[in-house]
Amino acid sequence: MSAIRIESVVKKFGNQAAALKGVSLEIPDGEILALIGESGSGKTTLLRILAGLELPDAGIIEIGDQEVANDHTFVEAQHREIGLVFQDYALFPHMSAEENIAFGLHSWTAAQRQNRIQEVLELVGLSQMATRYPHQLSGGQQQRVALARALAPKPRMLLLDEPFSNLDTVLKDQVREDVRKIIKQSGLTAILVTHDIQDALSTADRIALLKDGTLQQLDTPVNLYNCPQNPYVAAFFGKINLIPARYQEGKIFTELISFPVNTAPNRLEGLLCVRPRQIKLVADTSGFPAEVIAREYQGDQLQFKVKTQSQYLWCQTHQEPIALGQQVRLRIEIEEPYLLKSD
Amino acid sequence: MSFTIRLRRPLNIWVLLAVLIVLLLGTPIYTVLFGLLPGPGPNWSHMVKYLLADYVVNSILLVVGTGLLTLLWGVPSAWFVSTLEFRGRRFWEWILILPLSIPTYIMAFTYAGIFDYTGPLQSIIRNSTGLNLASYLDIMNLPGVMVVMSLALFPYVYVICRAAFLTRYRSLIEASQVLGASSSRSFFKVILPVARPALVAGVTLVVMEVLNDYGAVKYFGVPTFTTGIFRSWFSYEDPQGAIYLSSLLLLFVFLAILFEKYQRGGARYDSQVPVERPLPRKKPSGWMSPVVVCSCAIPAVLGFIVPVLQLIWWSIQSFDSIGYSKLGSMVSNSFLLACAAAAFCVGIAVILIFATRLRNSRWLQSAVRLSTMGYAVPGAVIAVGVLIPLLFLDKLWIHLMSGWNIQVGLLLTGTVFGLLFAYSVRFLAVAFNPIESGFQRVGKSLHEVAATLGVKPWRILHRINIPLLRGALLSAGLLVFIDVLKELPLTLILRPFNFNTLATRAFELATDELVAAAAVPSLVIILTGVVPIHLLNILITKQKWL
Amino acid sequence: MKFALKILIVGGLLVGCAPEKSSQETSQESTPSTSVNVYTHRHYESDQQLFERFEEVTGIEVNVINASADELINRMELEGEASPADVLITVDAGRLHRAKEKGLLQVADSEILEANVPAKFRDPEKHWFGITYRARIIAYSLDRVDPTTITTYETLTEPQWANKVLIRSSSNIYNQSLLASIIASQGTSQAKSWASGVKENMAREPKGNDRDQVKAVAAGLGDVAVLNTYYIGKLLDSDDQEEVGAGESIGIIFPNQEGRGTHVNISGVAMAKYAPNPENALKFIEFLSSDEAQMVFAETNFEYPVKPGVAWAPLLTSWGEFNTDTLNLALLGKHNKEAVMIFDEVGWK
Repeated sequence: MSAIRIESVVKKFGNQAAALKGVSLEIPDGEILALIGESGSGKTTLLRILAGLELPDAGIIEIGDQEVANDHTFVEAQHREIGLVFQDYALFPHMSAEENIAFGLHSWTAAQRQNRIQEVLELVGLSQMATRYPHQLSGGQQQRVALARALAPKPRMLLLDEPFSNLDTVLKDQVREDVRKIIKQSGLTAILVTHDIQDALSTADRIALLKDGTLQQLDTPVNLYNCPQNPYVAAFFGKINLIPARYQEGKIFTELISFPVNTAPNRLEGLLCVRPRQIKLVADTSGFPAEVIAREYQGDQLQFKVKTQSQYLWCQTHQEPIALGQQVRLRIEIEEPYLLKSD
Repeated sequence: MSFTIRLRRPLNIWVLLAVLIVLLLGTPIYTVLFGLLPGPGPNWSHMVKYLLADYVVNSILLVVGTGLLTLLWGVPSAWFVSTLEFRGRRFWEWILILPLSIPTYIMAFTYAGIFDYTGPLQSIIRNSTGLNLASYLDIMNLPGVMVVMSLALFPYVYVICRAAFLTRYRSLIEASQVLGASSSRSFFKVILPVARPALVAGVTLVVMEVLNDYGAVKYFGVPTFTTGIFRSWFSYEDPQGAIYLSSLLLLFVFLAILFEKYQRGGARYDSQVPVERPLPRKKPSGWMSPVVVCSCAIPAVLGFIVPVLQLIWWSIQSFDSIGYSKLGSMVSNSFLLACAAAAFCVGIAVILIFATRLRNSRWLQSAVRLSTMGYAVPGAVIAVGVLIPLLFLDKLWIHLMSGWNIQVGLLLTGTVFGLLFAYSVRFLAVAFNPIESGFQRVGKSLHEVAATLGVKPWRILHRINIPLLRGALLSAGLLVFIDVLKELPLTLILRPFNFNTLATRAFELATDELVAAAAVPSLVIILTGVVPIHLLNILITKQKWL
Repeated sequence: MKFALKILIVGGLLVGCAPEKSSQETSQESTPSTSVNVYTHRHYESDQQLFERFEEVTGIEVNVINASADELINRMELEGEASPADVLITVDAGRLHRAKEKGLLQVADSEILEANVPAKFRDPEKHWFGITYRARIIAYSLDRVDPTTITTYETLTEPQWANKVLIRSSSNIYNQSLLASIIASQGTSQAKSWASGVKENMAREPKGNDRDQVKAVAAGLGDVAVLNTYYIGKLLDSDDQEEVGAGESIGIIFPNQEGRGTHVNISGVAMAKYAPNPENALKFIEFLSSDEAQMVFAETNFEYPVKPGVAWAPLLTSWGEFNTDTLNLALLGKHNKEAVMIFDEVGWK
């Protein structure tokens, strides 16, 4: 059974182009889904529609087995039983951490409420900070209070809007891990909106990529990376070279080079997806010639751009020093080739 | 299609309440606009032939001239007191707000008195030098009324600009200073364009006050649109023509607002960087010092110190010839009325804005905006717009009760209720703007998060918005308080029996050509106004405003 | 908390205002009524003292609303039968006439009134009665003008007074009445040429009030001014020596003594058609015409009392008796609108 079902949701704002042009997706119980896309892709709009903060122009939203929005009903945010964490955390500045958390528990008995506050504070590891006010907490702590506040009333699902974008890079990795752990512990279905690929890859079970109000692909991180459905998806998760190629009898043929592969690709002809790390420098003349025209250091590795006889390619290396203008020879090494349909 | 979607949402009590309020507050305006239907009345061609051009030209000149002058008085002074440190800054900073407590008609009478042949200025010159400057010192003309009105109204611009300079644009000022811009350069290149919404807000208030004024222009002999409304109504005995003119005036204001919106286009001027540190104030450089001091001192002295001194002098002169028995009740009437009106307006504004928060729909927003238009309608016209529907209800009530053989009086119009209703129609805009900015400052996300926590709107308002908006609410209330304290035409027409306020008394005495005797109630109005203005000032400097 | 405070304030206010409300209600509920409701355009301190005196003498409470006559009439019209007004007081006959035309007044039958108020100062149909009258006179500079050169209002249109005439705006009721009286006696076209002639001779655009016209003469901005008598009294009575000086620098002329007489207007009183307390209203109106009240008007406000035999203020006495225009005052109201239109046509602002 799926926890959340979104069917053909359309939303327009005024006279602008539609923010959502008929998005459908389903999320099973307990899954963490990342909605990713550039700004203006419609990801935040979709989140707000799920939360009940925006009214869809058309389409159906189902949470659990309740249709919360369709052509004739609309359940307001108040009645949707969802938890929401904003980018700026939106903590009530005039209330302490525990008062913030208690805010959603107004209909509980005092004893229940007190227990629940302790429980969620423990869950997010802030039991010592209960009486602090938001301005007395660090960014990471504020975020965990916001999370605790959203979790406290035991919502049916959790929505997070750019939850990590206000955090220092140093903190981020730890926080992502913590947040994922907390969500998984509480067993909630969660949707996380982000524009940061790392956020999505490290936190989500599956990722939905949106562009201009349409869903490009919904899949696991590995599949999105390895088997993109179109060039946009392919390029979104890091540099990729798309090389026209065809497959014949265990070998891939391109204009630059041909090489043998272990498995047959998904189609016989198309654009071969080649990540920079799959292009290797060779010392001998077995590779194809190219000229280095740009470099980019990325920590322990170096990515560089070359010009070949037919196209530009991004490549990657660990050790060798590469100089601009240097003539190199390159080879493509792919075990399981994946070809995109060429137009 | 959009209609069916709207119906999908369950009815919300707040939205219903807001719609009800909008309809209620709108009735005077609808009543006036309804008067547009039968056409302009029998005297229209006469009016067009002999008067209208004069009214239109004078009104436009007056609005433009006064508006520009208020910018001249208000903007540089606001800039200097919020960014520089100089001798007497705190003093001027405070004095510059105080003209807000002086009604325009009192300012007009006072200045006319100062420049009068028998006034202090000419008397001193005449008695010491024998020179008669009467023909040079005549201020009772269009430029004169512009200056006098701008002196009474510039604090609207000053207050809003200073609040903006102190809070919103601090990071921009810093950024431009880091880029090496001088104070004046960062002012003209960065702040002035960015502060435009604040300037516009301030000048809009000024323009509406100018269009509404009757006393000052009448006394100074400058016929404007408002003069025309009264002339048509009473001299021609043609209320239809008066209503027609009022509607034209309303239309004029609408167009001005639309034009501003259109001209602003899609540009956004809000800077949302919250900064808590106070901006270090610099000392003005050598040649700037006198400029700075003059920019602050001239409007402060002319707008407050001079007229108050004159009023004090008159009060001393006429001290023995006035009855003081009623002064106490006038003060308490003025005070209670102003408090109640402030509470009404603030409460209504909160409900309306909160409802637009709950239901982010365009039609609701436009309707709510529309209900603040009463500010542009001359008070006397609102009075009629208020009387007609209220009297209808009153008569209905009397009729119903007479069926039971019970004799009752006018419940709504004969009491303070009618007056409060009229004040709400008239001054909602005054409370609306600071509260709306307050809501904007608090942001939407707090509200939305609270909504997703399953909390009822009432609780959100009570626990989140109200506590966070305290400063804005208080500011709004104080502004309405001061305005009601000064208000004249509505109070004159709609007040119950034996109900005198300071403003009505001051006006009665002044129109009886007893300007000196009017000085005492005028001074009391000003003194009563100074206290809330002082509070307002504290709110602004502590940045709890807007 | 804030809300509670607000509710408290509002509540307090309503309670605070309750006496006003209830006094008005009781006035209509209880019989015999013990109050009289007055809509008045006069808001002089001396009037207030008179009302208090009336309360003392009769035990009838006087409830007052002050506003301009136009607004009061408009309000009475809107209120219709429900109007709480018993008495209307205006400062000109035109407005009383208008109220009568609109059916807002009723006949006040009283021998006392007929005895106290001469026929020329009351409505022939007993709808309204003058309480005081004021003369619209010409003031001239003692330094620069030979008073024998001015005899009539019409003199002001002569070329010798070019750029020398001072008079206030045409929106002022006293000017409207003056022109209405000329329309009534000489016809529209004469009236129009008079207005146009005065407009041509004006020393400046019309502005300010009557007092300001005197000051302008004193200042030398013009030589002659048109104004009501009592303003000179107020100037001379001023606490400000400079104003007294200005008042002393002018002399006054009662125009048209040879012909129709000086234009006068009344401040008058009438009983409202739907007066809830007609007996009290009548007592009140009679009181205003009594010796006691008439003396107060004469002494404190420099108005001429309508009741014959009541002593004038010394200043007025010093100016002497004069012939008043014999025109039926009701005609001032009848021609008012026409007068305003003529002002517009000749460009008299």
